[in-house]
Amino acid sequence: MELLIDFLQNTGFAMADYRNLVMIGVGLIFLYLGIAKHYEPLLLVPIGFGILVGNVPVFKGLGLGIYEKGAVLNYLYFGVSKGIYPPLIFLGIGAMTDFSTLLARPKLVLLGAAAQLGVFLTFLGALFLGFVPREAASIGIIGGADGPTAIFLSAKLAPHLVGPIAIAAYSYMALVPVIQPPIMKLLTSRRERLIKMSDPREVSLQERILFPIAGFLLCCFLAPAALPLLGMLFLGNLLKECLVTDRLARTARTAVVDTVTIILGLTVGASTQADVFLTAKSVGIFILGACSFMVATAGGVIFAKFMNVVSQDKINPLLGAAGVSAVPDSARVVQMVGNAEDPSNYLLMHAMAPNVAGVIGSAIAAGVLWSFIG
Amino acid sequence: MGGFSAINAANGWLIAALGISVVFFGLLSLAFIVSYFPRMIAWWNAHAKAPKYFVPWVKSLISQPLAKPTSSKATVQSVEPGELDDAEEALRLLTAHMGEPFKLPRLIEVAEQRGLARVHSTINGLLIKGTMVGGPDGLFRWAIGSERKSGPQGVEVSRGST
Repeated sequence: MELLIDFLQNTGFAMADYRNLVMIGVGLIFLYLGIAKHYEPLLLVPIGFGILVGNVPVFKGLGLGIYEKGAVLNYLYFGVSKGIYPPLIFLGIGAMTDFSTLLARPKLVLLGAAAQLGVFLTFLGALFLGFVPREAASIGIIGGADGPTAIFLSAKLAPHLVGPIAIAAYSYMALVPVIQPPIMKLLTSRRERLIKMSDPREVSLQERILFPIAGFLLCCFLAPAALPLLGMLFLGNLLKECLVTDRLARTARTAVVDTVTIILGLTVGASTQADVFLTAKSVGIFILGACSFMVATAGGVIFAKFMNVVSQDKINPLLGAAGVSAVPDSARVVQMVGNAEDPSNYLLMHAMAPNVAGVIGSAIAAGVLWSFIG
Repeated sequence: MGGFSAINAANGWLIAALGISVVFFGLLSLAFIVSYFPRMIAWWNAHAKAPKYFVPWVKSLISQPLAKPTSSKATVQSVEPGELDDAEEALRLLTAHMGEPFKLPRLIEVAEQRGLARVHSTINGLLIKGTMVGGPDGLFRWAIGSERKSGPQGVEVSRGST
């Protein structure tokens, strides 16, 4: 009888408290958004399930929890805490990304820079609210709207906040279609939204091969701390574009990125154990993350309007919203909002230029913050 | 600690200003370089044409010891810059190996084997210029001295003998 009581006391039912149930609820919401609403399912499903995994109460000392040394999950989490997975994801992103639109219209790259305004303003906001500089930098990078970059920087600067920051970053990335359109409409007139972009010029293979090499050297000489992310991004892109390493490029954009996404999603989700996740800091991170995302969107749109003032060649200011990386969702949102005003206006291809520039910009921003504060 | 004093204490303003400046500078530089890609590639493509005939020519120089030129006193005039001059130089090396006078079909055949581009039009250009002249026996040789014609601009440029 005593044995039976001991067993019952060690079950999850006996050990769970309300915080576990709250987090399981959050995990179920993630699964719902991913499966039923198709919001970033490749990320939200592993993360959502990871939240369930991390919030099943386990008996401490058995080597089961993600934070217990020797646990299987702890070994898998090593790739998050040491910043190994984000560069591998960047390798896959590079092997998937076509930089042609950026090469065809280089001035749109600046929109990717303008959107990083959100990162630095949120950094100031976090300092203002009392976060220490390392935490503030990690929170600010949420505005880059780039999950791997946010995980990478927070793993380096504030490892204890990886969970909340990753969850906030991916949540807002999934909610791009909800968060961005009101800001875009608020900051632009109908006339501006109707601006049509001229067709981009054709980009040669030589340009596409030259770009990852030149881009890597330039960006990494400027911000060496961005080397792990940008090095892998540009390597992946070179593998894709040079045509002689097609097998490697295919592996990078399928097997590598898929494997890492599953492990990353699961472990980040599992790291949100109720006792470390449900804190006042997490609430602050979510609020600041949302602000960061909104400021980044606004920064891109406003800068696009500014470019129209100083340039003869008008661009549709909606493209500025794609400067937050969130590839390719924010570009899709630009297309959606532009298309709603004029069904014959196709902005998706043009929006990809600031979108991929945002990936580079957020990695540089992370590198800069790491070198200043790390 | 929070508020503006926390921002000041962490050099927040400076980090934010420098950070956004670095990001802008980086991406602006990238945009600037990228905008010059087409010109750089066009320049490269234009200058990468030379090896098309120079590489086989250099290879032939390495693989085959050249015989002494039969007409060492021959001087060359060139009135047109660029491709014709380079092709002429390559042809002169070939004829130096073949010996003068030479059969034109044989020269064309050897030149094509060596990878020279547009051999027929090049030789035609040289005949029109008078750099290469035909004899009554149907054989050809390089022009010397007074046989040379003036170029289109009436400029004669004398080169050393091959």
